[in-house]
Amino acid sequence: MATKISNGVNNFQKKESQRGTTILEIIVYTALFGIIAIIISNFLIQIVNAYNISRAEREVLSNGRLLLETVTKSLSEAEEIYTPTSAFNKDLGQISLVTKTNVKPEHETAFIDFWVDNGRLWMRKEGANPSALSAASVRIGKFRLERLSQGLRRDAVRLTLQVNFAQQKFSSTITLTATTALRGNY
Amino acid sequence: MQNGNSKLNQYKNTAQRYLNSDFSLLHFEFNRGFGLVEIVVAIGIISVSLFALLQTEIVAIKLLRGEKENLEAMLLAEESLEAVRSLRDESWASNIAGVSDNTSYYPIVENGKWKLSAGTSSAINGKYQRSILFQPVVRNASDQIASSGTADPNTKKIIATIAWGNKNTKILTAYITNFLTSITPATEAKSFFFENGVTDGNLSNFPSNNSGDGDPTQSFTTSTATTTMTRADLYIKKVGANLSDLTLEVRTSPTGSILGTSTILTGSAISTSTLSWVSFRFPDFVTLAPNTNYTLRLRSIPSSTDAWSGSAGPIHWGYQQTASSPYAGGNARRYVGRLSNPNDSGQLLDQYDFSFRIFTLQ
Repeated sequence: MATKISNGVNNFQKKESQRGTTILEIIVYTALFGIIAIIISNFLIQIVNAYNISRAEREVLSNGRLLLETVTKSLSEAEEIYTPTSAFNKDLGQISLVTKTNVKPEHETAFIDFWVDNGRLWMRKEGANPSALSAASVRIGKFRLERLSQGLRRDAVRLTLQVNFAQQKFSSTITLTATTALRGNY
Repeated sequence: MQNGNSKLNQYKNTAQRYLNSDFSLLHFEFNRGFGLVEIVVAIGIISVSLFALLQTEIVAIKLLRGEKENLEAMLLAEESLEAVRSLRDESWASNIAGVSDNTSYYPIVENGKWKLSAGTSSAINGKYQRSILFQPVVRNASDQIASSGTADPNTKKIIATIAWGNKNTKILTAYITNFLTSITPATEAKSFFFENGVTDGNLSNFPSNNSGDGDPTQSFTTSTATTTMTRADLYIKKVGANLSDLTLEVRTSPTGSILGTSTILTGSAISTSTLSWVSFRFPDFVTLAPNTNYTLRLRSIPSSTDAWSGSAGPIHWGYQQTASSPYAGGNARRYVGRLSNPNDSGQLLDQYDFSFRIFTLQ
């Protein structure tokens, strides 16, 4: 019985002393929790940032590659450049090509146009609606065409293409240069 | 037994305290040590996994940037091959046959076309150095390219190299042949010309730096036959560093209607050293009537006729001065269309003529 009482007293005393530690503990726990939360959220922010940067790089790279390949392929297949609707030596140029690929029945040739409007590269095949080649997530900073003439009917086009990521915060840019001779598939 | 009883009581008390308390945190006091270890381990696991995720993203970014460089380098190497093919298309005899084997060259655009320069290029886009090697080709008895056999002077092996950064390289190899000799393409020939204007001086102040001084012109007269003009060569050189882009027009008179416009030559790619024949091509050929006077009018982009348009120069267009006009078939003029007046036919230079060559389709 005595033990019980002493136990009770002990418990009461203990309880008091425990109350004090508990408040201190709450403070320590809160502080620890705060620090941990800051570290973890910082990690998370960095991960999201890194993800966004890698997405910017990926978008710019895949768009640049696709656009350049589409334009150079069309150029190398083309028979000639249609001068009146082509703009050379301009940062946002445009080009019209006369081609023998994918012509309509009973037609000798077809036209393909490439131009930049509102930051996107557009393509129109003759008789079809214009379609945007570049994704909305990127902006075309430069679509510069330079016409090189190596000789009589030896036309080549030097294309400088700059693709920028549309969001200012995660900037990424790629500048590609390629020269394509108009060979009409020979 | 008593011990066991007291322990039981202790538990009871504790349990009671839990029930009474509204502080569930008090739970921790019971197994305080374990809670801390648990938290530390949990934080450890979370941190390691988050760190791993972050590293994955960082590696992804690095790889993507590397891939971007690879693509840029690849395209430059392909451009080297395309430049050599263009040179082959122009003329095997004058462009390819004369190159030294196993010597470094690099392609550059000069006066609107490719040419080969000796050595290795300076850094393109601040990063990539390119060079081309030509190698002789030998064929075996069955006419296949082999390591030993008979030399084939009409085939060359080309090795295009791009080097950048810390020993990164990209090498493309291709063979070119002189197959165009078996095709007879259309040819052009020099038909009307004045080549005595070799004086290297600033006669026309073209393109004028923002003063709207207008354009220089040179007229010529056709022969008794109808001809198709494919190209005009002018004897010019670049003086200023920031020369505007140039284009040439064929007009009925200095201010008359435009019959044809040449391709645009990039100002920065015009040669600086001495006066040289620079070709302005008319991809859409210009038909010239017999015994008629036509005018070549040199234009700049932005236009030299407008004050403060941003045009920059000047160029020197080789000329000759004699007491009477040195070229009987036409006249030189300067300041044509000055100060945004399209009807201003400028100043007649009756003692001067500029050098030019007109090529026509044969």
